[in-house]
Amino acid sequence: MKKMKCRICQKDATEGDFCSLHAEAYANIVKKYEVWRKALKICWKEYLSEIAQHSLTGKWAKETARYLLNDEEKQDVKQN
Amino acid sequence: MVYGQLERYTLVITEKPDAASRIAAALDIEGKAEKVLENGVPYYLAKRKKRIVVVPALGHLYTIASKNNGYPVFDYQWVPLYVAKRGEAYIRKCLKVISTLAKHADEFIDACDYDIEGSIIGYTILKYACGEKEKTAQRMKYSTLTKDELERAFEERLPQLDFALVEAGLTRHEVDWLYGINLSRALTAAAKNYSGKYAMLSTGRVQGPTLNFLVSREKSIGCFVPTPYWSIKAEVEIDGVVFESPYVKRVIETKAEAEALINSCKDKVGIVTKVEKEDFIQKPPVPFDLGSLQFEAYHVFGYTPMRTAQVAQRLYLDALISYPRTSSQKLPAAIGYHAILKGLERSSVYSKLTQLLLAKPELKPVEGEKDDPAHPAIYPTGNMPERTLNIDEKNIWDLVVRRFMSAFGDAAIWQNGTVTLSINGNLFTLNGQQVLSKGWLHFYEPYVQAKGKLLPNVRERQEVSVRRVVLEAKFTNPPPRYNPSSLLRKMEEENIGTKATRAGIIQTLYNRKYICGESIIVTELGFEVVDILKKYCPTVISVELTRELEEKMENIQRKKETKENVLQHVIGLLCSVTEHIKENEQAMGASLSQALQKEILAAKSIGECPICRDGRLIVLRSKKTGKRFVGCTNHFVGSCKTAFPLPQKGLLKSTGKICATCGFPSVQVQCKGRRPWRLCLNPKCPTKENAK
Repeated sequence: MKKMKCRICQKDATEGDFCSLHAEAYANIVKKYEVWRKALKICWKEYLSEIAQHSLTGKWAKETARYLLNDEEKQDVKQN
Repeated sequence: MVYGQLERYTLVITEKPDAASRIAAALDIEGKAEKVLENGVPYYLAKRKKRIVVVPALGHLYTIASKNNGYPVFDYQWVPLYVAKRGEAYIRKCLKVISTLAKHADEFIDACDYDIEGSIIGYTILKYACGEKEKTAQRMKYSTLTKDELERAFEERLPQLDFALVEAGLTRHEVDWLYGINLSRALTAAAKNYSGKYAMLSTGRVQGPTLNFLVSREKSIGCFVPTPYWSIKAEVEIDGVVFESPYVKRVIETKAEAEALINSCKDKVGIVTKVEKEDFIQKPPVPFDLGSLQFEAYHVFGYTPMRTAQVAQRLYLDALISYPRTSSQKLPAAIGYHAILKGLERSSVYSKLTQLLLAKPELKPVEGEKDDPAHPAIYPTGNMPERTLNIDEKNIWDLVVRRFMSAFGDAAIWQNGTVTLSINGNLFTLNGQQVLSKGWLHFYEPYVQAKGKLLPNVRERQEVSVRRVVLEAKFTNPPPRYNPSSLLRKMEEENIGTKATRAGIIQTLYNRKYICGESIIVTELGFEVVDILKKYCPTVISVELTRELEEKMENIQRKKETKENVLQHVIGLLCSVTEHIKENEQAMGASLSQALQKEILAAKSIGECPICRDGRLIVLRSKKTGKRFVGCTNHFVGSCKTAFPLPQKGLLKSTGKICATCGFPSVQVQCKGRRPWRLCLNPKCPTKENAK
């Protein structure tokens, strides 16, 4: 059986669509969204775009945020 | 040959030539030992009741070597260092001189440092070079190389070697060798068999778990998502001086709440609601063991643990400080506090400080909890330098001297003050601190902050003017990276490695290119090694297992465990690990080879491509002209054609930095006879336009 590859870095995926590092980053992004939403009253997309360019965001979290943003944009295009 | 002309003598074996010279001079009745050079190897002749010959080793003269190549390997023997390693011809000469001297000696004394390494050095020389004299040899035990202590150690020498310490040391060496050789050969072979290219890869019993700490931290940093919060501070003016007063709740979680608070404070005055003062006592810091000296030297001077250990060793060999590789934080009275302080009094820098201590009715140091059966904490001997110390030596010596004096100082007394202000019902605080009595801070002042922040003189219900209330948007920070000092402390906390080996293990991680930078970053290769070990042999990076082994080896020293049991346990474990590795060698080799390639590319890389932001810039040569230029790695896959010209002469080095003006990477160019200069790769960089 062919192994699933991480959608971001093409390494072997361990959990769902991502490798272990990007999966951990994704879990962090989801977990922290609630705090950001309450603090700044922003939507998911705005949140992703904020953390994708924030200097304190870790490199795998940044890559994951950028990937999720691109994914969102692709879906927006499809819907339109 | 001098030894041939002598009557039978006592042969004293030391760890290093400096120690031999000091021991010989201390034991000679006239304080003047005769130095003999034989085939370039020095030894010393001293006269006491009987003739004494003091001969030095050069650290370890014997090592463990395998009988065959490949892995797994469990067959080994102790051999002279020159047999196992190339370029150790001097060791051969050394051992020849020791063996010849041993033939004419009728009494043997091991005077190597009294710790695991010293015991092994002495034991192996006595056993292999002197013809199994380890059974009858006596042992000198000392913590400083001062004349008095060396004479005492000679007169009161122990009747035999500390065999429990020797056994523990041999086990540690053999266990670490078995781990290192089998796992390192497995990793190296996997990469070589896959790619055909040789690259030295290594891991070990302590190296693996240490690298794993770093990888875990790197993952936390790489997956970190900051969260926003706000903090508020008021600037209040009291008697013409402006003070910053933070809001009592340091973290405000929502922007709305923070803005509401700011609005509520707008144009309001502050009223002092409470003035509190509290005294507290700060005890002197405990005397240095090696770990705390390394930590403090990093904190104060930025020295790596390795550098501090090397400098401390030099100071010990100069008889300026006691034996540094100690775990003890205790200063027993037997070291002679009074005599040490009297000795230090001769220095103009310390004379006033020592007089303060010598005037005390009783000298009683503070001590820490950690103890070491072999040595006390690190302390100055009271001797003055016999040569000019370099800056590192001066710094470490001063640190040890001041820490020693501080231990006898009184506790410092501080006063903490807090003023609470109400601005329209919102509470803000002003904090201050001042020293009421300096105590030990007086001795340790260059290395500790003894000045506090004074509070304004205010009374309750006093009105103060609020200049403005400031809102600050902040974000949580990722966990800090380890540096060599904090990593050493982590290893100590986790009880892996020994005080003598930890700094060296950190250095090995750098040498293998698993980590880089002072604020430690794990490289791709470091990640891959840990991933592979986790996947195929998780036991070897388990902290629990490493700690369990440490305890077993400590129990050998306490005579509660045997060397045979421990070795049997380790061989059993390594058998199953290497078997599993063999089965997965292909997959391991593929991952390691990829990581090695990336590492080689990273070493060549000048920086990220500023155009495609995906490839790396590397130095290339034109096939047509042979001229060098910088190109993007994505050029090879046809997706980026970025290229920059380079000067054709001079040595190029990546600066790892980007141009502050245009953001393009820069290189350092070094031409013979000229100062190196930095070149921004961007031909259109505004700085170059300005220079025209």
